[in-house]
Amino acid sequence: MSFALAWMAGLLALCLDLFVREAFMLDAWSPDFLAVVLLWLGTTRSWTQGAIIATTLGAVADAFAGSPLGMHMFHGLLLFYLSRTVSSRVLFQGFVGRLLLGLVGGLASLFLLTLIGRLVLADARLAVRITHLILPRILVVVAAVPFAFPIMDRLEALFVRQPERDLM
Amino acid sequence: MGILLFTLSGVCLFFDHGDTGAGPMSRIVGRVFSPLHVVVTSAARSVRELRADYVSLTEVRAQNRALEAELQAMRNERDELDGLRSENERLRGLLELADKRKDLRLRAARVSGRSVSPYFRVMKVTLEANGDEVKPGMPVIAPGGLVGQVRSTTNATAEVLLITDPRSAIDVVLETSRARGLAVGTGEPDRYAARLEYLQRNDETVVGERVMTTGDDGRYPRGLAVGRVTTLKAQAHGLFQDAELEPMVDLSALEEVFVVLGPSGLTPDGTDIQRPEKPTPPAGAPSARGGGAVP
Repeated sequence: MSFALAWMAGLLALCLDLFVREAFMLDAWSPDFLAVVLLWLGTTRSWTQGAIIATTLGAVADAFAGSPLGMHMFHGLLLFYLSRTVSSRVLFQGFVGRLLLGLVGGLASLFLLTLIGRLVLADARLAVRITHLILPRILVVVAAVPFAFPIMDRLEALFVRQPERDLM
Repeated sequence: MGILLFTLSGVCLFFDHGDTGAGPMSRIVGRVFSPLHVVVTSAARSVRELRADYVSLTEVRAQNRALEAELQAMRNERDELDGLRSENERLRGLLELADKRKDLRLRAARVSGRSVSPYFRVMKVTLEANGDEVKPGMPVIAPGGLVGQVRSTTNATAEVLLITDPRSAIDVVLETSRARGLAVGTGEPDRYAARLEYLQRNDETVVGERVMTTGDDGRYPRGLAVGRVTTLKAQAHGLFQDAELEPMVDLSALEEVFVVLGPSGLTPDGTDIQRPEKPTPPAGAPSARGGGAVP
């Protein structure tokens, strides 16, 4: 149940991402909801469960983005591991803590995607092309994380019985 | 598990390529999630169109508001111009009248109020200049014809008794039939009219004939248009026939008038009236006073 819920949350985030981008033409300022969910998975899910969810959501993101299959899978997996690793060592609680996690996650997300894109597409100018995205994307993720995490925590508490929660 | 997933991702990324760039795995994933992509995209597009429509509607509304304001301003300007044109026409009429009647000394006045009583037909006029010259009894005329006479004066204003007031009586002559009569105001509250009294029964008057002043009453100058005959009805018995006239001047819409101060000593076209020169008495003849010539 917990697995399905998290996966559905990820899918919803992807749909929302697509919807917002298409409906409001925000371009650089469109929020990266998938990155937020992946960061949240890192703080709430086990290594195994989170990795599966991140990889499969990455596959869906590839389908939605029209990118080579595996690109967002890699990205999702790496971002989840990063979030999981960081949050297992540092306690990101409270508004400021989540802001910090959002900052780290946003930066890492963009960096990882650029790195993978550079490797896969063999495009040396990719990093230059996305320079203008850095600030807005990171700001949006930073702003979204402190608000999205409590909401998702509450939703999960609402739908999932306590013993089912994977507290690893 | 992590290694497995990394491997899976790597395999997909580096080996799942077909002729068109998308391998079988990629095609499967694409086929599974393509309907969802289409649904979300079309929903988002609907929202975008709705938003665009709303924005354009707002713009149209703002534009509509601006155009309405512009239209209102132009209407105001047009009304103002209409008012100016109307005033111009009236003043031109006054100038033409002053030009035609150079035999009269005229003083311009502006209508400033009307009687509030339904029984009397009186209007107040503000004199443009030299109000002292204006005296009660002086005729008041407008481009169409006679308006009335000055009833009283106070500083720069004067009260004018209109020809339709029941207290007004004017000696008149009908222009074509030369029938004589007396135009007496009816004083009706809902219209401006006067009745012709003492019109002989055998006078061949017709409806529409112009009624002019005779000048015999010593008050109104000769030849001023008073009105036009509107109804004629011979009495069953007696010497006279009943007739009514409508003033030539639209008294309800009058704004500027002339007060006739008196004769100017000129003919209507502006030339001097040739007075016969007094014969020079012969030398030595006795003077008119009876006195003799001064030695």
